[in-house]
Amino acid sequence: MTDAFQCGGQDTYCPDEYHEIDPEDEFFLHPKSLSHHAEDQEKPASDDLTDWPVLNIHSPLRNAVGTIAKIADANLRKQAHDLLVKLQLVLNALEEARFDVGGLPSLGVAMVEDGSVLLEWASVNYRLGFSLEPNSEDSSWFLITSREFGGLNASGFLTNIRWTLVFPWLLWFIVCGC
Amino acid sequence: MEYPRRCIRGIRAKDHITNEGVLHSSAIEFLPPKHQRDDGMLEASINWEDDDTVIGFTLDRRKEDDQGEGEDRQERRDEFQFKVGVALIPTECLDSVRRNPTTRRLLSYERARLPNNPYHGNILLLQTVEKKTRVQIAGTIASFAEIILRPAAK
Repeated sequence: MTDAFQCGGQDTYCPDEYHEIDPEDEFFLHPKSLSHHAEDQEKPASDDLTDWPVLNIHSPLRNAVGTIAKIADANLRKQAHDLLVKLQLVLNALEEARFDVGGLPSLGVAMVEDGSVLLEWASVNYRLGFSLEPNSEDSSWFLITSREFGGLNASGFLTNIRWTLVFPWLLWFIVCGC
Repeated sequence: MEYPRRCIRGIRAKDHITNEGVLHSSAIEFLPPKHQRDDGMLEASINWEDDDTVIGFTLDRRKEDDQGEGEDRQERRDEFQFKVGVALIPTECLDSVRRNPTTRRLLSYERARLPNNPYHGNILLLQTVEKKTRVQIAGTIASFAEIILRPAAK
């Protein structure tokens, strides 16, 4: 399946784990929206934020892209960049599956006093956050939903996870919550 | 000890509010205490809403109120401590975190009156709580918050 992936044209960047998608995860990632030729992919030499997978003007990540470019710490900036690419890939897949992602609120970004970066979607019915830490092993996500949305209160780590399995599950609440 | 129905958390930065007007979790930050305490708790400063004047009292706080003397005192006197507004947090929300099986015994709250602020208190979180759980708890509290924006910040 990897051969069919596309991130958004030549010279675009995809996270490392992206090349190691388990065949079982294909269910969650529509081949058309994620298709590209893995062997053609090259990571940008710098933290180049200009190449994004199908990041259009309606993307709820658009404001976040501009904000994370201002993160001084290169490690945190790279973590944020990788996270946004993965989120956009999943949003593309959901859009391909005819979910309306155009009405999603903007992903907020806040620099926290302890040196971490918090990216968050928040509404009355859900709150999905990603806390990026100087030590990436500590970076985590959390999902909190209203009683109507199941009263979920969950969290987990961001590194060494099957993001193609976890992120669609998390974003499901955001897409359906709108 | 009896606590009011709500507490008030000041909002200092614009990025603590989302574009949709919801409180960002980063507005609830647990910090090491200014004065050493022996219970190993981190603090998130609040005012208890003892009566209907406390919201106005909190909005009117100036930076110098909490920072005392200093060369830039006049400058701080002119500046609001909470430039954006305040968040009202139901005490019941804090109790629900305390009851939750996954976060039980991690959170508490207290009244900690100051010479110039009789309403002051803290939401307390065990220092040993890992960051992942800390942001999750902050997110839970922020989810229940009602925001009052300072008119100029709207």
